[in-house]
Parts: sequence; C-alpha cells; structure tokens
Amino acid sequence: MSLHDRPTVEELLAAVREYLTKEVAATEDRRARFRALIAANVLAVAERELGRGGADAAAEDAALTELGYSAGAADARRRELAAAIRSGEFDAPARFDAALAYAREMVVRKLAVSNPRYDLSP
Amino acid sequence: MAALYLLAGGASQEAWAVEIVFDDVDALSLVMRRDMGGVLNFATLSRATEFAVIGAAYASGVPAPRPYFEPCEIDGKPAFFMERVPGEAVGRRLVTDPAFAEARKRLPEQLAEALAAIHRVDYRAAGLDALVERPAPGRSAVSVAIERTYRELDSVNEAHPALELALRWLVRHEPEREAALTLVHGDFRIGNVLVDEHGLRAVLDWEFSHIGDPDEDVTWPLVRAWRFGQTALEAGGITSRETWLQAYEKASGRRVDRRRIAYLEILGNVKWAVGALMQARRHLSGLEPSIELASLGRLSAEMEFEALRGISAFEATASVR
Repeated sequence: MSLHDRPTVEELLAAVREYLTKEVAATEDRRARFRALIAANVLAVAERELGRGGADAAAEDAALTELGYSAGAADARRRELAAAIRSGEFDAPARFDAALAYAREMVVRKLAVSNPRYDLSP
Repeated sequence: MAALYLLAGGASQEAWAVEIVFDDVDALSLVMRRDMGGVLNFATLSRATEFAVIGAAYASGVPAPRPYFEPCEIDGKPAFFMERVPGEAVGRRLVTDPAFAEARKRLPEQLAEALAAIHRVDYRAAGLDALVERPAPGRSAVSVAIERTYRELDSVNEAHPALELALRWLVRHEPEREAALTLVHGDFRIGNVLVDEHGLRAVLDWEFSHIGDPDEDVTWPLVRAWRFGQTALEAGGITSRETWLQAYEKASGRRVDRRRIAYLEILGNVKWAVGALMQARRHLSGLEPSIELASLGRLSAEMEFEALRGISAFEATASVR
C-alpha cells in the first residue's frame, strides 16, 4: 500500500474518467460532449501507461543496446539512433531491417497504451 | 452584419456563421473564416491567398463556396467571407449515419469529379502560381514534401526513429516519374467536404493548396486516419480503393499508377504523423491549450504504424515481381 490514502492513484483517475463519460458527456452540446469523451480517452491512456510500470523502458533499453546504442539515457540514445538513420547509417538492407524491427516493436508498445484496440495485422 | 454562432473552431482557424442584412429585406448567409494565430504546418496559406484559390476554383466550376467581398481584418485577425453552404462535414457521421446512406453511394463519383475539376483549374491564368508554393524547376513535388516534413519534424524536437526510418525509405525510393503539375487541394478528404443527403455540396479547407502532384490529392483519402473507423472501406471510409481510383481515372481521363499511390500513402501517413505531433505542440507550448490538440500527440503512433506497414507491404510486392 502507498503512504497515501485510498482512493489510490489508479482509483482517482478511474473516478475522474467515469465522471467525464457518465456525467459531463451527458450533455446536448455536441462540442462539449465530444471534448468530454476525448478527455476521458486521454485519461484512459494515462491509466494504461501507469499500469505498464517499467516494462516499456526495459524493452527499449534492450532494443537500443542491441542496435549498438548502449551508453547514456534512453532519450539521448533514441536521438542518436534517429540521427544515424537520417544520415544513412542504416541504409544497408540488414541494418535497415534491424532498425525496422526496433521501430515496429516500439510503435506497437506505444499503441498498446494509446489505442489497445488498434488493428496490428500486417 | 451579425455574427450568429461559431461553426467550427478548427485547429488553425475558426469559422463563424454570419448574416448580412441589406435594407431589412435581403440577407446573405455567409461564413467568415478567420485566423486563430498559429499555423498547422509550414505550408499554410494566408487567408488572402486562400480566398484567391477558392475564387479560382469556384470560377472554374469546382463545387467550392462562392467567395464574397475582399479579404480583410476582423478584430485585427485576417479573415474573409464566403457563401454558407448547408451540409454535414463531421467525418464519423458521414461514414456511418444512415441519413447519409444515399449520399455515400454517390460520393465516390462526385468527389472524383470535384477533384478532377480542381486539377483542371488553369492556375497560371488565375495567377495562383505566383501566390502558392510550387516546386522549383528541376525539383519533384515529392522531394519538396519530404524536405518540408523533415523541417516540421525538426521543429517538434523529439526523436522519432520510426518516422526517420520511413522518411529515409521515402528518400531512397522516390518514384522516377511524376504526374504533370496541377493545382493541388492539399487536404482533400471526408471531413473537409460538405455533404447533404444527396451527396457532395462543397469542398472546404483550402489552406494547404499548392501547385504540385495531383496524385497527392488522389492518395490522401486513402490514408487510414481519414476512414473514420470504417477501415475496410479504404477510400475515405465510404468505398474501396479501386472504386475510388477508377472513379478518379474516369473523371480526369488520366491513368493513375497504383505503385506510386502506395508510395504516396506512406508519405501521407508520415506527413499526418508529423502534423499530429505539431498540433500537440500547439497545446504544449501554451499557444492554444486544448484537450483535442493534446490528444493528437498520442495519435501519431497510429500513422507511424501505418507507414511501417506500408513499407513492408511495398517491399513484399516488389520482391514478388
């Protein structure tokens, strides 16, 4: 248990999300309703991201190391990779495929948070 | 003149319904388009230029709102007036609401005819080539679009390996030939057209118009984001890819290369992925606090996925040949 009292952080977010979908969105005003549903969806994204703990960071760390970017913070290594792709260092077919596999895995992880119902079929 | 109500608070502009009454008898129902203070991407036209493009399109018989008066400033913000055309523009409603079932049957042909008419506008005679962006001599429209997308991505200042990979692939696979340059709408899709129960009423949102490759417009409605959830109907959530391409070919009299369309669809996904990141920046920078704009930052992963999927599919069909 956290030092903090119930509701937990997850329960607080869920309570706000339900307030948005059940009360705020129950308006005749089309735009207000639309924005309430967007706000509820944004909260659901935040809830899913919190729920994944450090799994995404660990997977990205391993994948960046595999591509040869092992030193430094994840953001700096991601920038190094992005710059290397742009300058042509990943043009060779095997390198390109390795970077493509990395990119796809990371995008799939982002989608699991932003839109878990997204159709991932090839 | 009376401003009645806000029709749309677009991310880059707003549109107001206005009523202009003459002599207490005659009244004009108009829309006022006005700047919101920022730009969506690096190719956004000024209101005065957008007014000129709509005027040229309207004069050429494109179903566009008739422009009125001259471009001006309203409360210090650039604005112009045009005819208020009745109809629905909300994408999700147009692709699912039973009220538009009949319209959806007619739309592929109507949209194809409207798009072919846009591409037939004599932009030189209308003086548009001096107003809107066009590729420099010797440059392809695709290379201009890629370069602009790189600049836009850099302005966001985030590392996006998936987008870098897709852009690099686009640079290295640029098609050898392009269609002859035409006026290009730049954002031609469901969501930017007004439709009533009988079908198309008017093409809106001309702020990304330029001189370029007409196939950019032909491809844009195929980008998955513009299917509004009806993903199996690959053209705008209303019809199949082939029905759309054939309707355009019939209306324009010009054959469309499917391979180039597949390439341009990847480019389209990258452009909208970067566009969504830029829209989120409008919120993050404090320029335009908005839950809608904020949410677009996390939408970008969907277009990244589509771009990567498109590259794999493109290469798979290449190796079969």
